Amino acid sequence: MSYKRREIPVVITAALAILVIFEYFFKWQDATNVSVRAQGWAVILASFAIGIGVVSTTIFHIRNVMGRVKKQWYLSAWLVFLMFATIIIGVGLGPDSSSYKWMYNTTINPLNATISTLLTFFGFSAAYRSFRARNIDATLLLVTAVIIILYVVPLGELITPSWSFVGNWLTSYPNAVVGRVLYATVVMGSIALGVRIILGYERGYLAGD
Amino acid sequence: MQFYDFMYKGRIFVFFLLVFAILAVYYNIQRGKKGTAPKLRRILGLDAIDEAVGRATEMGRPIHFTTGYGGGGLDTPKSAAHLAGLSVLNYISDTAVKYRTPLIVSVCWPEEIPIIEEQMRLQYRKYGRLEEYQPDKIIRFFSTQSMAYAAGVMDTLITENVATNIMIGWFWGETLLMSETGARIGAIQIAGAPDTTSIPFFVATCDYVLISEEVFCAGAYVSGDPMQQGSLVGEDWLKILSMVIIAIGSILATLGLKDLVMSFLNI
Repeated sequence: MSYKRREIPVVITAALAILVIFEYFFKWQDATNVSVRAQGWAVILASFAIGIGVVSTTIFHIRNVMGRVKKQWYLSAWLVFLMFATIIIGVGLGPDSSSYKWMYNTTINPLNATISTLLTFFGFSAAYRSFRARNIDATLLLVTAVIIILYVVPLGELITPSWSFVGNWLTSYPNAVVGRVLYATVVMGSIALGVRIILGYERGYLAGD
Repeated sequence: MQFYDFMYKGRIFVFFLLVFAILAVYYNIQRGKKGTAPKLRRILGLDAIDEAVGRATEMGRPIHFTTGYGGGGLDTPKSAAHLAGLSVLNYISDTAVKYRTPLIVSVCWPEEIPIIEEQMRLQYRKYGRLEEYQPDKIIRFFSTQSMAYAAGVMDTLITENVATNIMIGWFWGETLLMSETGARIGAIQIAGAPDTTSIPFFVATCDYVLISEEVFCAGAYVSGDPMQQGSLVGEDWLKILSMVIIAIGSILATLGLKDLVMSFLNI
């Protein structure tokens, strides 16, 4: 990896990170202005990246079509057609146009809902696999899961009101405590990762090291 | 005028914590440079990456990698987890290219595409096989919407007959859809997520799971670089300091001095 490819991105990353951290703590309007502008650039760059995504997807699926990939090529052709139809209608008529909204509400929303619904069935099969009492850990998981299920569903309250107390205690104390500990470690892990990136030691994301 | 007049109220205590963190990490990086950093505990999920990649190589089937949707890409606070995932990808791609194991990287946030392309290109160049590099066969961009992305990943896992599925980053509603599909096709699965939204689903469906901060230290761990690994000790110092502050705060609050604690935290 050449000097330019490695050092320049590290310097830019470090400079912008220090700037953003600095303006968060210190009252200096010029730093705030520059930081706000830099964060705006990040959003704009991310938006431009959508174009890269469209190009990447188009090349992949056009290759599928050209190569007549078995059981794939006609789906790829359909995908490319729909993708460009959406782009043309969205850019041409605007995202607030009735045609675009109709397309969104009658295809994308129902498809999203359909995929989301799969979660229910996948949840059942995942629960079946993990809640088998093979050892002490799995048994504890099973018992806790049964208590929480009975706490959440109306049937549990009908069987005995004490489910409510146990379920509430489990979610309010052990669960909340563990959640907060995980959140705290995420913050500390992010800080350490950030320091490594600012100092230029963590360069895995830049490749080559 | 006091020095804290230049700072925003309520952020001074956090600033000194951050300064401590930076100094602790930097000091331990220097210790690592001298070879005096303590030994790290083993993280099974990261140790299993070699085994998982080896399995795919032996079976002649692809490895799949993704950093997830997670509600935001590299221009959001979720970027730390995505970057940590990309650091692990750098390690995986090295082994995959070395042993000519097919690698598929599913992308939800397109700003990751240039980074991954550059990573892969450099790996191919490192092994003198730049002419074999075909980014469009490796990187699959599906959508910036969680469910559409999940549908694309599910299809890829099945149609490509993936042997190893590695998911490290930040995940939301797509977690179970992808990991359960991986479990159904019999892929060895390694997953890592920082938040409690996806950890339970990964635990239920994956062979190895990196929990919370293990995700952020993954890049340093797999790199084998003593300087990066030394920085993890600095993170532990920050944890110890935080625990001491929490303990003191709890005792003072129990003694009825909650206002004192809050005023200290809000300086």
